[in-house]
Amino acid sequence: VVLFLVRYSSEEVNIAVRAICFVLAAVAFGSCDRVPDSFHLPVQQPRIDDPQTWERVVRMTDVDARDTFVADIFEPLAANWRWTGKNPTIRLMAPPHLHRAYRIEFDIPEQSFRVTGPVVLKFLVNGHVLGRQQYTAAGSYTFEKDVPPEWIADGGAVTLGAEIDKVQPAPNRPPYGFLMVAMGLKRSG
Amino acid sequence: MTALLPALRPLIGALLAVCACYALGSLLLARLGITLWRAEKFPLAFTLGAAALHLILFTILTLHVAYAPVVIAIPIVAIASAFFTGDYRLPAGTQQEAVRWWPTRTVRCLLLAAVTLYTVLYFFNAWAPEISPDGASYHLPMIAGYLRVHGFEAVPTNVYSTLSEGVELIFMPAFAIGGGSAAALVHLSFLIALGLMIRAYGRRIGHALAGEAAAVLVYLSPVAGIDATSAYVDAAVAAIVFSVFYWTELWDADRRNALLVCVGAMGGYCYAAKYTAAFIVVYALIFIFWRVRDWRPAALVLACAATMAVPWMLKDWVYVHNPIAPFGNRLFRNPYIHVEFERAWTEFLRTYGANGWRKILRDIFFDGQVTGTPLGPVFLLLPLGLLALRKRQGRHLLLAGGILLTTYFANISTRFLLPSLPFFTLALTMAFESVPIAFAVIVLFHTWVSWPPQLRRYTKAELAIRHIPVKAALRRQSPHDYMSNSGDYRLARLIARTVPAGEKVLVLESVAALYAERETLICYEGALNEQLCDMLTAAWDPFSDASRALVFRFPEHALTAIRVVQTAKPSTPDEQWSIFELRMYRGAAEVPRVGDWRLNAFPNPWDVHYAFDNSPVTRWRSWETAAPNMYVTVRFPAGVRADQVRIETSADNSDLKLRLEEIDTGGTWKTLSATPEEFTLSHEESLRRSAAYQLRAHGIGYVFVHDDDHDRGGPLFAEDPESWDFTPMAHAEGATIYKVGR
Repeated sequence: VVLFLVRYSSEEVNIAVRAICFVLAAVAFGSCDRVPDSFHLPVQQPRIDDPQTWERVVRMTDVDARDTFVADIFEPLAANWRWTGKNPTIRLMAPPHLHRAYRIEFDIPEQSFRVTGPVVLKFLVNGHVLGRQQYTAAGSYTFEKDVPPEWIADGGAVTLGAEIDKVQPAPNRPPYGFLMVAMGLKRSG
Repeated sequence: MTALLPALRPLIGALLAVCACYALGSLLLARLGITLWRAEKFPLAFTLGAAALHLILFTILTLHVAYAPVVIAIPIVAIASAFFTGDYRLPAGTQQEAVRWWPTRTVRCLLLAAVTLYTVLYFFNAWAPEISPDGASYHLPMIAGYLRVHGFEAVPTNVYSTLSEGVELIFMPAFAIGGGSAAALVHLSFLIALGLMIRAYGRRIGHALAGEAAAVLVYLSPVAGIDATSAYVDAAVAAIVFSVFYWTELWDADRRNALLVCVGAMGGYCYAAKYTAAFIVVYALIFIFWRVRDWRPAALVLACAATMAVPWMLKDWVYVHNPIAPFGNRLFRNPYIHVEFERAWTEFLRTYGANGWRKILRDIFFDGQVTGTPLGPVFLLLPLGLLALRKRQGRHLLLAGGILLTTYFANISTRFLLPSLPFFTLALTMAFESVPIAFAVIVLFHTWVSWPPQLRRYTKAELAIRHIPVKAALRRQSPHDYMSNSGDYRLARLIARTVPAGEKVLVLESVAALYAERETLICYEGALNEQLCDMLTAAWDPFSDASRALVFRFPEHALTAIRVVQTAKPSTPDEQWSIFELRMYRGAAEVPRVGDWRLNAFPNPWDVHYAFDNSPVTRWRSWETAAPNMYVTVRFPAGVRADQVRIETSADNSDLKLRLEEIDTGGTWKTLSATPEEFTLSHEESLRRSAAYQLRAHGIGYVFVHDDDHDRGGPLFAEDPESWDFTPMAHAEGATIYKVGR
């Protein structure tokens, strides 16, 4: 090509100009690569669990939170919480392993506290009482405690709950307990 | 003799490449009927021959016949041809009037002494085993890869493979014989050619002493020294660029079309060497058109330039669907380089994270902390070069230098000043030629402050010439021992020792790939690499993981296609749109995904499957700044009944607004819902093991990361590798190689 241009350079340049224009245009147009119209569904990834690190704390804002509710957790979702009744309960499918901690995040609202005064909450795992705690003021609280391994050693469905001793009555509906933010099992140890 | 062979191989390799360039250049000059002065023949023939040799080697690589004997035979044939034709001979020297004025003679002696001293310094540094960061991480690994497969190969996981490699191809014959240090020696020869060219040009325009002084100032500059003694390309680019200017000036004096061929060929070779260097063609075209007011000579230049530049465009077009890769990805959309990478990369190169021009200027002349090895403080005098505007050649020099300087702001690394440096330096010395004593002072000062022990006193640059490594160059010290001083080399060898051949390694930072000897995917160097690293990040970073769910509810009915459209303009350019999963629901149950669903997205349609693969760590991302009317589409050829669409996404795109559309019977899109409810997402499955699963699914067997690299999750891998399904295989210097799986 160079030798052609050398020979040619002493004469006219029109052909060379046309040639370069053609090449550049071909590159420019050819580079507008056509993208496929659509794509197929890919292979679906299987669910991958790790029993050692498994944990699930159900936030009331979770898109699938309602799938775990068993009792006494009411609609609607407000901000990041829901009203509970006396004995809110959820159910999780836990892998058969050890070293989990029960965790609950909740609020005792001022309006309830004015009615009930100090309250005692019991925290339950598969019907066993894990702990009992008195709350003498309204506010936000977290309770977290390791679960004895034998309570959940078999895995499968694990029922988690809390029970408040005094509730705020409400007309034409179940009484209010407290505001649930999150409840579940965490990795411990 | 056998003991000497390891030391001689780099010299033989470099000598072969350099002689071949000169021989080819000489042959071309003879065929073109161009006669040069004795002083200018070597540098101009050498650079012209390099352009020709690069084109020949490009052809060889394209034909996939780049076997070592072929690559070595081509230079030998070129040298033999020049020998038999006699074209290699230098023209007879012109009788010069002996300089009798003692100050000029003294300055010349001084210049010669400085050049001799620094040539020894440079020669041994280039001859020593090559371990420069860019040389060992991409300039040479690319060449090694081409030699391995005997031709060009697509390397979609390395964005650097899309840059033109015109200088690297000249390294190839040398590298095939003598390895990395042979390539560095070839590069040094370009710096020598540049110095000779500046000197010759000075002589041609009647400013011999100014030319000699400018050549020495450029040659001694610390950044020129470290660059030219490494397998980089910047010094070569500077030489090639200056040759374009030189040929343009020769044409201006002679007005022969053959000279325009040289202008064009070298201009195109500038593009082949480094994209930004091609701006010198703009100068040449303007100059030529301005001088003759005729477009035809300029067209000839452009045509000749195209012969050198278009092959590289075609290569990128074929391999990455973008003729100007790695730039222009918004125009030439492709699955290999993300638009966001280009934006972030070019933005970084414009500042290197430095705050303010005061700091950058200090860096350029002294510190070198951020922008790399400095020019040297003597170049603070460059503004005085404006005095050269009084002379015609001075104006030419300053215009060419000025045009080249405009490209510097796209990458403010000091070495990117090398192409414009000769022009400004020559303008400076021309302005002071009548005061040779000034040259003496300046050159003495420059020689003193650029010498390694002095340089270390004021520069903070990590990369600088430190000493004269005689033992390493002569291979009396083993290359391994010598290069083991480099942490990059040690870590690369750790990979080579630990990872079995054939395995791919995901490297979360850079690595001296030449010595790792394994396929390494560095996080930022390709679209797939970025996607893989994003999978790991999504498994630990609460800002990047799938933590938000946007739910569109609507009355249950049959759907044939839906489209999720992004409608907001984000406040920051780094905000992208992403979807981990798009799920359809009917009642409380997810609509099973069946094989006939058809997916699409804009932009980045190639990754749309990541939004439908049921993985909590893979996501479709726009990989460019989110913008209104970006969309993800699903078509259901068999129709589906649904009442809910759920988008799983992350917290890093919370400013964006989405609208759900369905296609009606008339084929037009109509809004189904524009007010999604927002929920959180908690994961029971293991994100970490999902990430490992995906790495394996993408063929990644190993991950290499520094334990303290918080940005990449290094401490989390080190704390609990088992939770990632990683097995630590080797650990050194704060970095670990993990096997993915056990």
